[in-house]
Amino acid sequence: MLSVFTYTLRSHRIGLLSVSVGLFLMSLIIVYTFDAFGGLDALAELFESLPTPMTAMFRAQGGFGTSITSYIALDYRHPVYIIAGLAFVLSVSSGAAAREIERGTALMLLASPMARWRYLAAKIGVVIVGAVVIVTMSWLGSMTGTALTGVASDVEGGTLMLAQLNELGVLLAAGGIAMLLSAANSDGGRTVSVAAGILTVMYFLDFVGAIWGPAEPLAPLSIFYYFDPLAVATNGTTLLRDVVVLFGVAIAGFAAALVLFQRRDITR
Amino acid sequence: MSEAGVHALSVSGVHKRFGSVEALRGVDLTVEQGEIFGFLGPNGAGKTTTIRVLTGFIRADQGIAHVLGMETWGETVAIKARLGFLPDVVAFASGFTGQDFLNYVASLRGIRGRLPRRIELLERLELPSAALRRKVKGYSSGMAKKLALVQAMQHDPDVLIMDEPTEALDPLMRQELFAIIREAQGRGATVFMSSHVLSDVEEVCERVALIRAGRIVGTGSVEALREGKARTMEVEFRTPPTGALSIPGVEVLSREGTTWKLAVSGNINEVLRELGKHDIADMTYERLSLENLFMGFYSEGGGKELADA
Repeated sequence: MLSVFTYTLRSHRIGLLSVSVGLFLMSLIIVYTFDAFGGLDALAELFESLPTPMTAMFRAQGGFGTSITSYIALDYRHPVYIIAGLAFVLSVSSGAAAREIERGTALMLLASPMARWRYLAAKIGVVIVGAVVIVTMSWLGSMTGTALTGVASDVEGGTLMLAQLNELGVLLAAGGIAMLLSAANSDGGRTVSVAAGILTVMYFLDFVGAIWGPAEPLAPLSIFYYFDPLAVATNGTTLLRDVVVLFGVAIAGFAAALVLFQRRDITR
Repeated sequence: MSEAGVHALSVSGVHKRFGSVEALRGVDLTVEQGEIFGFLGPNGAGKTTTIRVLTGFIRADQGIAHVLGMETWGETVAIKARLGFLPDVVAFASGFTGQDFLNYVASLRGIRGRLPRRIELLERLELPSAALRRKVKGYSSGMAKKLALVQAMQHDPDVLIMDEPTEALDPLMRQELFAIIREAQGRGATVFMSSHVLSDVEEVCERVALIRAGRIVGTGSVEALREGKARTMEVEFRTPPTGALSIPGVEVLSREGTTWKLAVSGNINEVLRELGKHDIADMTYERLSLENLFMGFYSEGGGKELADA
């Protein structure tokens, strides 16, 4: 099992490094933009002038908050963070089972004396470790930025870590969904596109629910509904509901994937 | 290691359906320990599906399969500890060198360090160290097949299941592989190999089974399978017979001038004796091809168990 984990992590190392370093730099740059926008008052004015759909993307319809911590946290909902993190998660998940079966590379490996669920569990381990590395690097980017710009004392690092914990929940929930699809399919391309489609619809539901009253009841069906780093920064803590839902979806997805992969036929 | 009273492989009444396609329709098969067994059939007949049932990749809808007395679906991990497997499609994940791949597969079996059998196999199948240091992505199909064969045999399995093992190998390598297979048998291993090349199977296998449309249509030695099946004989007469050629077990398929094409299913000595009464310029008598053998079984319909020759 350790061999599968090590090999899989090694084969995704370039992707993981790219996403992690990219988000580290993104987090660092975002801190610099705080001064570029003119500080708290200027930002407050800017946010008031923005149309609701724009602020809804960041879950900042009520304003961006009253501190640099909340400004940094709300940017964690920037689409670049979401897309980059999800790209890694979808790549590992679709490759874990579906793509390997499609290419025929799984057969010689699964002919070894190891239960199939253990094989997939090693791949799930890579998704989890990769997601932890991504959010840690994002957080480190923010902290490095605050140190370089001299605002470290004004920023609550622990709160930003909780905001990244919220992001970790989103990545793992998406990973659980994608891994379940991968365990059930024998076509890597279709797995990626279906998983991306589901996540896009979820993002859309969350967004539309935030800007259009009649669609609001549908928003809780989206994992992104439970991703609110600005609320974390404002409240100083992660909402228990968000943690339970996101990690619950992740655990359910991974567990179902393990069971399904153990029981399914390996055939193209 | 052999176990008394246990078949190496047994498949009993196995059915498997994929959607509307009935891939296996009650396959029955038994392979004894220490046997080299050939599994023949055209594309889509059910060879690979049967092999995947035996290797625990596919669960039978009905029926049951065992390897060394263990049920292939429920006890697949225990079976795979004693199994070497070569799939029909040889594909490697990108990024591996040949050496990395062999080490990785061995590590999945809990084996680390040098494997004497691997070194021997690499030498005999002519996969030099320089090739092993290269990425498998750049391997030719022949090299990829050799690497896959090494991974299947490097741990000295008790049962070796190989799907089309000779495909992509040149004639010399085929002969070397057959020698390796015979040596494995000498150590007590059971070898089960599928192929659509009769000559390969005939050369190395003691018994064979023929599968057609998801059913076993014949089991026995190759000679036993050939018995009673018509073979083509082409005879060029200096003076063709004037009337009908009346030889028991001979049917005239065509006449083109002095050249007659005959289907011979009777006793060859009797046929030659009768033909010897005519003035013959030349004659060819083809060995029964797999295609013709299959045609014979196709025309017969249902399954048939033949006695070993």
